[in-house]
Amino acid sequence: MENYQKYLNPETLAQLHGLELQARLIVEGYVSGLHKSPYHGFSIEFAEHREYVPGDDLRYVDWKVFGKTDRYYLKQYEEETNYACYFLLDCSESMLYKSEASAVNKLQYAQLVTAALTYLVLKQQDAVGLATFDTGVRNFVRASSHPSHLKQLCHVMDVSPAQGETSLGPILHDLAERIRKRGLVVIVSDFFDDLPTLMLGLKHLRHRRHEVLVLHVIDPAEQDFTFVDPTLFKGLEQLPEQMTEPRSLRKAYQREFEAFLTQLQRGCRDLHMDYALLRTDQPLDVALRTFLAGRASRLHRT
Amino acid sequence: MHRLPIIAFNFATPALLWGLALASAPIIIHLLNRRKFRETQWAAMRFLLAAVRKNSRRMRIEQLILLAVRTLLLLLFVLALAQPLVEQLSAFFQPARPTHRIIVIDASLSMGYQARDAALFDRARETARGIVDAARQGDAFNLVRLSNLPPAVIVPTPAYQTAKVIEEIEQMQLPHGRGNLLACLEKTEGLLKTAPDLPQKEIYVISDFQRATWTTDSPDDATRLKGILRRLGEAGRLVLIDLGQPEAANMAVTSLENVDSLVTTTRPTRFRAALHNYGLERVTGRVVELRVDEKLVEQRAVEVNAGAEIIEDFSYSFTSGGEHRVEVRLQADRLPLDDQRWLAVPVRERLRVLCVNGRGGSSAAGRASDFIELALSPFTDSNGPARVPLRGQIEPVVVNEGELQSLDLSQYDCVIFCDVRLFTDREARSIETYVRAGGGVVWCLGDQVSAENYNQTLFRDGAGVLPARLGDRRGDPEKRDESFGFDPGEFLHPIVNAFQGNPAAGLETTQTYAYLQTVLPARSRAKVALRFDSGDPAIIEAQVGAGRSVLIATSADERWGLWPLWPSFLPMVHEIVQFAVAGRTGERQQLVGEPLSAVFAAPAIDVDVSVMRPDGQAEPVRITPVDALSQFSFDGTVTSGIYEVHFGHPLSRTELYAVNCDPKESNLVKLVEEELAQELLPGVEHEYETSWQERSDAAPLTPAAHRGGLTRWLLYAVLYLLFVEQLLAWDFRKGLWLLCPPVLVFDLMTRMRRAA
Repeated sequence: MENYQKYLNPETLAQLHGLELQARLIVEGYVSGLHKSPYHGFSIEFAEHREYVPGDDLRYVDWKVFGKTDRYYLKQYEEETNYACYFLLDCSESMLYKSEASAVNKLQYAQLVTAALTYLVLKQQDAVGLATFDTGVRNFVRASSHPSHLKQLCHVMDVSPAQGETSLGPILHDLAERIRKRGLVVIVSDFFDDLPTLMLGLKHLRHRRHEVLVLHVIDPAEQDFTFVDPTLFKGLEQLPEQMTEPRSLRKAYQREFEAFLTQLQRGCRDLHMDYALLRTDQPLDVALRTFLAGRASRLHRT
Repeated sequence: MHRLPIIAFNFATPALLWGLALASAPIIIHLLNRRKFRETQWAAMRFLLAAVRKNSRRMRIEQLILLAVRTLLLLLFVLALAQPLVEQLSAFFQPARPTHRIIVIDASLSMGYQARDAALFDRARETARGIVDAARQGDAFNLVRLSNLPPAVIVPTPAYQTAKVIEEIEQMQLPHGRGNLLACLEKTEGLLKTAPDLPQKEIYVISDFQRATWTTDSPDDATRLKGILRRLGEAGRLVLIDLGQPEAANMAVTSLENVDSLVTTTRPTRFRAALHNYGLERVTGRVVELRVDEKLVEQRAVEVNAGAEIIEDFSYSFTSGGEHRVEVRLQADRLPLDDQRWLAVPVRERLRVLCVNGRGGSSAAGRASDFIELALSPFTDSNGPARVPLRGQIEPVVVNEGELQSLDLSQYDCVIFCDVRLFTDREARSIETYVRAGGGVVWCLGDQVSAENYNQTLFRDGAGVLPARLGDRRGDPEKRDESFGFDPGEFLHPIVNAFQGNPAAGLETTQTYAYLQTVLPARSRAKVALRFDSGDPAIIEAQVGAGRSVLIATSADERWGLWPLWPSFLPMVHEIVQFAVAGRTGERQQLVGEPLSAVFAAPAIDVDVSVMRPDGQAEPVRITPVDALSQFSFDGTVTSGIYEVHFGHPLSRTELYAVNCDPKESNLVKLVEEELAQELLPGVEHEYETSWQERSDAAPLTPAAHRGGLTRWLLYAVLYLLFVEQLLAWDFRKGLWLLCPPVLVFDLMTRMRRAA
């Protein structure tokens, strides 16, 4: 049997072509790695009526069927089957950064994560939508649960060029209005943007009663700042270039960066959003686990 | 005053100084670095920009400091390679080059003082061991003993093996002599030249700095001493290690003598001991003992005031003749070596005196020697028919001058010539041999004496046995119109000493009508014991070889005066004989370091002589011929005590010699540090310590000898800077802590304040 787990590694995936295939391999790899899925029984694959057995939660009993047939059936996952999951993928220029330590740039990583999650959701027969954006919304694909939808989404991601600056705040306002149906919004970005406006956008989403999952993709070099020699840093997204001695600046830079991460995480926590920091040198299962754990907790909450 | 520069550099390899150009390397690299850099795209630019904005000023300063450290590092490295020779430098730079160390250990008697736990000498050896133990690889040692006894230099060639030096130190014994400072320091100065390959010299003087040893008698010696010490101070590091005890109390027997020069079994002998208290406190109840032949015969307690000396008289009657040892012993104190003093006493049961009669006569007392003979051995009863001589200590034998040739003079203790007309050369020679071997002769003059013959055969211009040249007769014994009395002066001479305060003896009232004028040769050792009131000498004595010669300028019978009939005659003859025979028993009392010697008649050359030291060790002694005599001399008197000298066949006898300590060593007053510096070492750089320790906190070094220390320090600085540079580059703040420790303190305080 093929060892699917290796496909959780971005380095291995980078050698493959076709986002769809990659997505499938990721999910297979992840699922095969679990001896027993902790989420079994709550997945959408059992989205059908099931006869009541003692001990089942009475809240899920389908009383309409009972009225018709005088039998107890559980109406499981009615909500989930109508659940729409929107992925907001940042395609700004800053997502193109790739350090020597990582195999893929942030955008590729974000695409892999998005595709994998899309595959997972579609496999559970939920609807998936996608929005790519930089300074504005570039592509917007409405949510659909058709299995072939994956192909379309992958295509959109493949063809979305990385350009422009990130301005998440206005985009979130925009999308919050566009996505009418209440659902799950997964934002995949490096969030190199003005934090207050970003927070306002997130608040808007939350206001529309969307569940929000923040997947923060960063390159390891951006956190560790491992440069040694004097370096001329050329700013992406029209930022000026800077010549500096990285060794002496490392601590100061890391202080700034960690402050940014802390603020973002605190903001997400305040808004009851799930947050995951994804480094492009990490295996992809972190993203999947965060996603599924978030799903589970949400199921328990509702 | 000429002032030396504080630091004067001289470089062994100045060419290497071109390497100083290397110091500009970091600057150039720094400048090049500004041009050469990596480029990278960067997404998280906003954070980088914020960090740069907040830290640009700090980073620039840090870069400058780092640059300065790197430049300094290379600068020091090049300087170190250039091997600077430091001509004169402060104490900060310690050299590590091999050192030539000369250790001088005071081995004078005063070092036998028992300090709290051990004798000073043992402590000195321990200190010397410490110095040797602390030696570094390549150090060389010389060992010198400050003593008047040989050998002064114990390790004469620089020893590189410390084990050998330590063995020598372990084997050192404390002799009982004095310290000969000048000779010792001169030898030390000579040793400085023995290791020319070790320019760095250190001289350690371990002593109690007793004033008696460290001060000189004459101003000339003081100048020489200062000169030597100054040269030693200039040659290297001069360290004085003072083990002396301030205000050390000590009591000593400073002299012991027998009051009577001739000791016989017939009368008690008086001994006189001087006890000196050198301490600052009165001593009471100290026990002093008299021991004869190692048996305690008398014991008494004495009291001596601080700084005072008392005389204790002892009396003892010897029951048998022969050699006896007398010892006065004081209850031991901290310095036990000077608490006892010995006396070797040869006791005679009988003295044989030969009277050579120059003029015969039939009437009573008609012979020239009759009065002398009578005086030497008075008859018990002058009226009786059997005139039995009193059994006294002196046994006179009278011969006529013609028999002189056939007699063996060495059988007699003393020979008295009475009005002998003339002597042949042969007779004169045999008399001279006899006197030089320790015999005593007394010359009594008279009518028959041929002054010309006496001067020619006996005086020989001062080279003979007669102590003075005979001149013209003064006074006329026939007319008796002029009389001369005796003028004993201050009664200083031992011969007349007994008459002092004793006018009944009639010395000053004795009348003489004629005498021969005498002329003492210039620079003669002869002494005038008694003068006539005309100012001319009456009795002259001189030491000739080991014996003594006494000249009486007038006659010993009644022809030239009334002296033989006067009460002063008999005691005077006895005194003269006792004085003259003193040479027979020889000089038996010596100080430590002085040789024991004695002279014998010719056949003694075949005699085996050995000396037994006080510690029981016997040592054979060589005999050397001196003119017609034989002489033995033993100079191994390193300890005090009784030395037994055994003469083998045919002499077959044993003589005792007493060797005592020099009482000067008993005075323990010492030079204190200030006195040393002012009196002995004015302007001489030296170190003064009371105990020795390996120099970790060493005092300033003397100049010139200490070269090469700087290179090491420069390299240390380079190492340090290398470390600092690495740390600065890795974490500037931590590097700064090392470079400037106050920053660390400041940071810690800040942290604590924050924590609070």
